[in-house]
Amino acid sequence: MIKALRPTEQLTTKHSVKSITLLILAIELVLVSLSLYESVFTWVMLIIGCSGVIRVIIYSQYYKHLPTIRTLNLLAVLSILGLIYSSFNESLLLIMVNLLVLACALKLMQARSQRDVYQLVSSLFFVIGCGFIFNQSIGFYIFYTLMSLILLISLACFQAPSLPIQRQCKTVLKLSLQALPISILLFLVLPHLPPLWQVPTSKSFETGLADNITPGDIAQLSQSSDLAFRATFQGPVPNPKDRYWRAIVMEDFDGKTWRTAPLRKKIQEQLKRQNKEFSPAVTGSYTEYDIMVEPTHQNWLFALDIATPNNSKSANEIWQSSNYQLISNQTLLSKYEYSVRSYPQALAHQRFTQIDQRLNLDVPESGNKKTQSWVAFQRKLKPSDDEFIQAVLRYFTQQPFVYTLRPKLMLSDPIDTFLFENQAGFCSHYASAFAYMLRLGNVPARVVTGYQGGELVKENNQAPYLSIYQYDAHAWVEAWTEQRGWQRFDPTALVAPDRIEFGLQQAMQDEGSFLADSPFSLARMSNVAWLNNFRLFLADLDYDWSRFVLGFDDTKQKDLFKLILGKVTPDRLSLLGLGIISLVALLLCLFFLPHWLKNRMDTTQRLYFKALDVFESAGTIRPNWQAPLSFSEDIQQQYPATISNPFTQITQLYLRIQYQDTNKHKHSVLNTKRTHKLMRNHLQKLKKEIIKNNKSPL
Amino acid sequence: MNENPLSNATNTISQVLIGKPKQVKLALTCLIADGHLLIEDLPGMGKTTLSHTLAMVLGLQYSRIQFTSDLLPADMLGINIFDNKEQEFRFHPGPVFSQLVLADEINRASPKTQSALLEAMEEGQVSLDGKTHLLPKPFFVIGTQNPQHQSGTYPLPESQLDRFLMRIQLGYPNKEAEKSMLTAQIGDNKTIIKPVMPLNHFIQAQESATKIHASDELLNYILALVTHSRESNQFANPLSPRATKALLSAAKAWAYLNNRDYLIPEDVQAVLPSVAEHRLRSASSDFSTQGSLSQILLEAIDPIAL
Amino acid sequence: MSIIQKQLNKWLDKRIPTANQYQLNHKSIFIFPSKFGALFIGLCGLLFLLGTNYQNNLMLLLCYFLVSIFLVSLLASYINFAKIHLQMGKTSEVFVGDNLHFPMWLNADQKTLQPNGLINFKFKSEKIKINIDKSLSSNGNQIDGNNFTNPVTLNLLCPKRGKVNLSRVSVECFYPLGLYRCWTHLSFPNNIIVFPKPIPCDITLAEKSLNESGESGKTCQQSLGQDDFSHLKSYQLGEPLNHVAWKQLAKGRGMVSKQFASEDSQIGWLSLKHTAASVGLSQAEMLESKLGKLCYQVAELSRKNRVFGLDLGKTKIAPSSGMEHRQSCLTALATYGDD
Repeated sequence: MIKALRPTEQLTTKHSVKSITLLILAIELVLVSLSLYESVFTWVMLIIGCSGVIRVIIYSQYYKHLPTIRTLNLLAVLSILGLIYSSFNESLLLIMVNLLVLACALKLMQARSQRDVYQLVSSLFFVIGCGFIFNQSIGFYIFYTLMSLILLISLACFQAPSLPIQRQCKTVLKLSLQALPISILLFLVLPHLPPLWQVPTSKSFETGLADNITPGDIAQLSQSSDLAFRATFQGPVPNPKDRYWRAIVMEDFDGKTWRTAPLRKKIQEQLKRQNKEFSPAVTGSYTEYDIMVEPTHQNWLFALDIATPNNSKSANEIWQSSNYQLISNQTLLSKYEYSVRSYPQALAHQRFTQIDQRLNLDVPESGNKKTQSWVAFQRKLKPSDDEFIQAVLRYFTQQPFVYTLRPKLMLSDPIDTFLFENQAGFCSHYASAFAYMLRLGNVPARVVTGYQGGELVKENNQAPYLSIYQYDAHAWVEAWTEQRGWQRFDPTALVAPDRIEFGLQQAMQDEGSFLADSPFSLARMSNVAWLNNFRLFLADLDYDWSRFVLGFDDTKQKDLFKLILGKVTPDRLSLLGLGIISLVALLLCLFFLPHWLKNRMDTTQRLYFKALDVFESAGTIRPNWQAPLSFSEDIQQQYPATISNPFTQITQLYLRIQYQDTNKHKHSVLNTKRTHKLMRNHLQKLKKEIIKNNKSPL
Repeated sequence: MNENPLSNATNTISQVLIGKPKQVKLALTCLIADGHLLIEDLPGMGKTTLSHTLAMVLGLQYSRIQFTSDLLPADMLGINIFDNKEQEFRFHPGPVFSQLVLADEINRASPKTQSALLEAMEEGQVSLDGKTHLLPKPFFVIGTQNPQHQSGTYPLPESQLDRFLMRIQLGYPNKEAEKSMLTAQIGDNKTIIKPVMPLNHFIQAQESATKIHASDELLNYILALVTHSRESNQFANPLSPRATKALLSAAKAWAYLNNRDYLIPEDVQAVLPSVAEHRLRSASSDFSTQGSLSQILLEAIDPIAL
Repeated sequence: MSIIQKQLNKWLDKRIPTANQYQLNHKSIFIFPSKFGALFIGLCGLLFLLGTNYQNNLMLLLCYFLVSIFLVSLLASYINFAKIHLQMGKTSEVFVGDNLHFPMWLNADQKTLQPNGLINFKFKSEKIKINIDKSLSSNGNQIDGNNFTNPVTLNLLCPKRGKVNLSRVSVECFYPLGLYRCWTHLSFPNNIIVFPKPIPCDITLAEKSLNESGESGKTCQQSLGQDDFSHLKSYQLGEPLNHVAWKQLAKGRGMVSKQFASEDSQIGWLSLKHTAASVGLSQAEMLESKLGKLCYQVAELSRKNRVFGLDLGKTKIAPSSGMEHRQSCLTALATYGDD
């Protein structure tokens, strides 16, 4: 990482170590690393801070010596050891990012040569690129764009150390504005390839739902106002109480935690190998919609029951599992859009297999004795499944259950404690207790997690869309009966109907626990009208950003091509390619134009030279060193007054603009524009007279 | 700009020095630009008359020093003489302590004396025995010299020529002028001349001349001229930055004399020969081209295509 | 290697012929991505891979933006470099062992816009040549286009007398972003002559040109300065007062005037044959030392404005004086032996 400097690599005296370039780079490094604070280790942050401070100190000439090579080598070795130690359980991506910023920091501490600067700049660009893996919102995009521009400015400063910073900014801004249309063209036109290979990712970036719930987890999600996904509807939007977004089905219960059944996973893997995709029997009416998921670094997708992919692209990329989940083939590292069709009535008409039966009746023998005896008692009273289910549901309505985001901890026999002692909890408590009770009563049941609800945004000229936030996370129960097939039950709805009808915020109004951990969240202040409008505007902006920028993929590209070409054929595509290339060339020429134009003279000069040309064609050539006034005197002697008068006027006006104090006649009637006009008039007169003169003498 | 009294001065002097209006105007320009003047010509061409008349017209206190090879600096600057009564040295100022000094035939004096005068010109003061004595203000030196190839002379070195703002040559008058000179009553003229204005008006004129506007284009023209002298192979001695400043201030004074409050290239062209000629030296030692060096310079630069 | 070099030089001579001044244009400008440019493109490739693998449109946008910057800065580099206008300046006299200061005027007239950024000047090194002839060393000069003083000078150590083999002047610039290297090799007229190193000695003037028989004429020796005081003489009326030796007068020795050694205005010849070389030198060194001594004498005599001639055996220069004469004498000395 660090080598001894050869003397030839030393910067010349003009870029001394206190070069502004390095200062800018230091600030840049600190800012970019701050934006990655979630992924950069704290001690790496400290080293970055140190290197920044070193640069500032050197720039201010408070201290003049860079750390010695030996110190830095030692630091480098220590850092590598530290990195190895701290990245034991971390993902490759995280290690890479840390290594990169660490290397930048160390390089910055000893940067002297031109090569150091170039390497630093390149690495920083790469770090910015990596930043986009972690942050993709508009705000961060603007921030990173700004950072890129600053990097370019630092390069410009390096090349022209004595140019004032404003001019550097101007140069870089000009370059960037010129580059912008080209880059947008490239973005629109160059093929969007599928991933070339599997990239490392890490657990710690996973957001949203987990593949297991121990009651208590979802409450944490409820504290987050981050967007989970958006759904854009072609047709009517389902009612709030029907907005159950299915994500994960959990069929394995050990008395405390629900998780996806290992058997299911195995079966799924097997099926995947054999490429036998499950397809549910679909009947009844359906709704069609597109979903744009925020990056979760997981594979779960969300859809209303029961969903099938709506187009071939989605069908290729989505795997349907036998418990009606949609699973993406790719980990969701960036925003992902897919379109699905949901059949709300189809759930009841699905096949019920042996495996389903076995998995959904499995209960742990031990624990929760109270519940077990209670269920056994109820089951004896109600032999029919339906009646039994109703009886259990009735228990939730009759007992004083409370919906709260701050339940007490229930460590041992959690279901017993919840049902008979605390009687306060939130969706995962209710769902898990309810499903457990049904299973005890020999009714196949499972917990489904996902989201419930969503904020509807309806613009006049746009398809309506729902924004589903993390606090909409929910858990509910599916139970199977002989007569009705699979059925969805939501015990939470019985306890807190507001949660389902109006969302979590409404439900939590009394308790005040909605987003209690983030008091300044805009979502929390939605009762202030303008703030809410602002929040919705931001959401809208983000929606468009996600849809059109982040979600721009090869299908959208194809649509675009179709829009331009009418029909996508190889001929037309190649024509388009040619067109694009020539467009880029044209743009480049356009940028070159000012350079040619700059060589032209300003208006005053041009008009005066035109007048001179008139005389030249008439045979009077100005000696190229003669000044205007004396030439005008010569003309007065050589030509009649009709010709010389307009020229004298032109000369006077020319002298006025070129040589008089401009401040003096700034406010006078005869400003520059008028002078030009007068000069033009006199020029016309002069031309006429010269022509007359040429004709008449003979 | 209101009518300036200095144009009267030109007319008045021209009555005495007949047939040389341009030279008279240049001489006045030099004084307005607050510079020292060097008049170079053969004996009897009116050098002394010009300087004498200038002093009278402007009402300046005038003294004349005839330079000879045995002239000592003290003869010119003054001397400390021991006063027996007061028991101390008292300074007796020399002829240089007047507002307009005519240093006649400056190249006849030894280099030592020359440099003493030139030092006084540059610094506006005289240092003698550790005491400095300020020269009056305004302070002009009009040096006259014979062309260099006359025998028995010490030509002024380049560094000292540079201190003269302008060098003019009077030349022979034309026939008519010479004739009218003969018919005029010599001796009468001197009595006619009266100062055209009080001295403080002249100082005001100097001040307003410096305020004349020089546009960017014009400054570019001056710079182009100067840089050409540095780049071209034709000039062995290019123009110094001091010469650049001299050129601008002389051009301003010229514009002032022409009642204009801004500079045009003609002003520069008018003063360039007298400002630049003595500072330039031809690269080839061919003396025949010497006379037109500034003309070469002028013709190399187009004043309007800048 | 040398054949390629020769072909390259030929091509260069055709493309950028020798001139006194240059306004750089498409013909004389070469432009190619610099090392950093290559690194930059590599970075773009890496970003593209990463962006594709993470299906990250923003990363792709950044990548395309950088690629566009790369494209656009090609123009910017060219436009900036094309602003350069170079004119050869006057070189001062240079003697063996001195550094030749080769001046160039960069955009001296205000008409054109100033180029920005750091600009490197150096003599184009021809590698083979450097290897053989180590003594011909040159060093470059870096100036800042926004903050420099004209003229830009390049130094060249001159180890040999005679015509300088001036190689082309390479100018390069990386502005605005260092992605491209703009460079050119300019050829300026090659008329610089290195004079022999002057070796101080007594001035030996032969009274007339020596004929073949080698009969030595009367040579006159003269001390160095001629304005030095030589002797006292009794004062005669009309002599300048400042020549009077006042000290002598004060001592009561009467009016005496100081006499100074006056210029000897007789015409003489400097000859190679009659210049004594220092002892203990080889044949070649002897010649050089003689030429050096002659060089010194020419310079001294010219300074005193003396009339003299130069006799180098084959070439003879008739007695004369003045700068031009001095120049031709020195040139003759410098080019002695190479025809």
